[in-house]
Amino acid sequence: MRRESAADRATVAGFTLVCAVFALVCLAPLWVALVASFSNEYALIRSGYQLWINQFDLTSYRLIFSGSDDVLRAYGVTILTTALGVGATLLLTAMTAFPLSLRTMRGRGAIAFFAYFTMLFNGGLVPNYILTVRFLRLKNNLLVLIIPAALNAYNLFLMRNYFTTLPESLAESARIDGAGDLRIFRSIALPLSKPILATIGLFAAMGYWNEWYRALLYIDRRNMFTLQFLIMKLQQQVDFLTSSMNPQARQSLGNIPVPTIGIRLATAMVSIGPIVLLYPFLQRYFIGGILIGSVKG
Amino acid sequence: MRTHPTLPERDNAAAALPRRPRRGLLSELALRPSLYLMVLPGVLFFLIFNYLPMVGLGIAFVDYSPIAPFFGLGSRFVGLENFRFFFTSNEWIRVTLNTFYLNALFISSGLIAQMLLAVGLSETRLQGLKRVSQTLMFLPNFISWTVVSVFSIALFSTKEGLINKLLLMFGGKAVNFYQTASVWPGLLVALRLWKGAGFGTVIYLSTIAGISHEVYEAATIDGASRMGRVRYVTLPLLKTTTAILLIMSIGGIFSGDFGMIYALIGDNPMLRTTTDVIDTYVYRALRLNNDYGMSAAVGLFQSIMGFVFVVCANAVAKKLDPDSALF
Repeated sequence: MRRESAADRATVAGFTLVCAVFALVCLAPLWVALVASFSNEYALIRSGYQLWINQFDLTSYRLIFSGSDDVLRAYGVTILTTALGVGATLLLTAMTAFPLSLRTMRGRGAIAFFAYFTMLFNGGLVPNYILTVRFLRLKNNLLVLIIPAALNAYNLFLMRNYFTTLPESLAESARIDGAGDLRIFRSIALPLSKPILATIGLFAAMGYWNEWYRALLYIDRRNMFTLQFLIMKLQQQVDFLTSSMNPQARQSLGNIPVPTIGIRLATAMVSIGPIVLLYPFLQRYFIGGILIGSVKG
Repeated sequence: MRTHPTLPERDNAAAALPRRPRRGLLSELALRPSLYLMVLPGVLFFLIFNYLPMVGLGIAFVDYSPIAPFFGLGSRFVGLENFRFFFTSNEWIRVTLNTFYLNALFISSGLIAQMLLAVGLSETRLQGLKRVSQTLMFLPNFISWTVVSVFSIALFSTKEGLINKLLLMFGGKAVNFYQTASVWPGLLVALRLWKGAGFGTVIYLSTIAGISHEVYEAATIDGASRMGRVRYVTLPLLKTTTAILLIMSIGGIFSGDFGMIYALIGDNPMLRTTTDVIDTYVYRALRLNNDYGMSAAVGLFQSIMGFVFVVCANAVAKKLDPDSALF
């Protein structure tokens, strides 16, 4: 290969720089909020947000964990709905997708279109609201955070397309050995579909973990708030947590006012903690998920 | 309907399969009940959570009363009254235009940024740096808009915000971001790029990875510089991908991003002129004004427009590249 000219080196350097700068920009807000959450509230208000910890102070973290139950309870709710939600998503998606992947199943085209049409047209907010609140009576019920998000046409087709790529000969030989459809699904199709299950599961986990929209619509009991919805409440009403703080925690502060900004920052940090820590290890599954097959009805 | 006293043995079903006789649906049901039992919950799910609300759109044509039969659907029929109310208000043009305009900004800026970053990543030769930047760029995609709004306060608040501190440092004047509607389309674009552009590179990166090495070698032999290779090989080969992504996102141009806008702006009335979209408008009409009929009417309007756009977008995509069409 010929030697590179100065212009070529400059081009590569330029592109590298653009990417590196954008990567830093992506990190910056996270960093600023993180150091601010460990800073003293007075210092924060006096000199604004900074790039380094301004008077190290753990009061905010101490308060969100011991001053009030809200954060820990929201954590519990979020973990619960995420775990159950991912389970429901995987089960329902795989169960529905498997028969649709079998060429020998009658009526699969009609069912696929039935699912597909939901991607084109929807009833919108009001009918959904009435359905959930009055027909299903799921207001202030944690199921409302789990069930309605458990199946969607996109995941269904992703899953079905994956099942169709599995070698048919495997199912055939199992059938000759006397295995029924259910058995083939459980013992052959599912174990061979781990990559797509991982991908759908991870995206679903992401969705459930970050859920606040349904909570905004359907949950108004404090003990059922998800983490993200708690943050939303803190955004709208900065002293939301403070009002429920126990007297001991308040006394332990002495006559210092409660760090409301710090509490909000600390809650946000605590809520994205698991994502930031786990994400680098799971990255390839997420990328794989986008690239797997095109979605077709 | 015929009934079957006993379920046939699975082995029989299996033995019958290779011949693939055309049977009626009912006998098929009887022969392989497990398959149909498996799809049943999914079908019921779509029926309840997707098709019942479509029926519920009838609320758009009634003067909704919560005590009326059929969950309010049986209220007094008023024809197009709810639509008239929306289309004669001076807000409908504003929210419709805002939805369009913001989405157009998001789509165009997003595609350009994604392409630029994907090319940038693929041209970077320091593998370690490439991996780290990629990981950092993808991360914001997984952070929810509510947390982004906590970040945005740290950046944009008037007194403590980092941006205003920078503005003052370089001799500018502080901007009262949360009271200045005109800056928000730009801020929303920036926040959206921050959150989505990195992860959006994935599709472009895979297209670039699929470009044959020989094409680049041929270009190099013909004397193309590094920049020339990007300009005359990579970018032209990204055209189809870009066109498809563009068309697909145009299909969704009628749905405002409620999650983003409500999380960042909430009910702040001062920013409404530039940030109020159809979805936030419908939410307010429902939750704050309890105007079910009108909200449903606006929702129906949006769904129909969305349907038209998706179907058209798909038809165009199919022409361009049959593999990329949704249906």
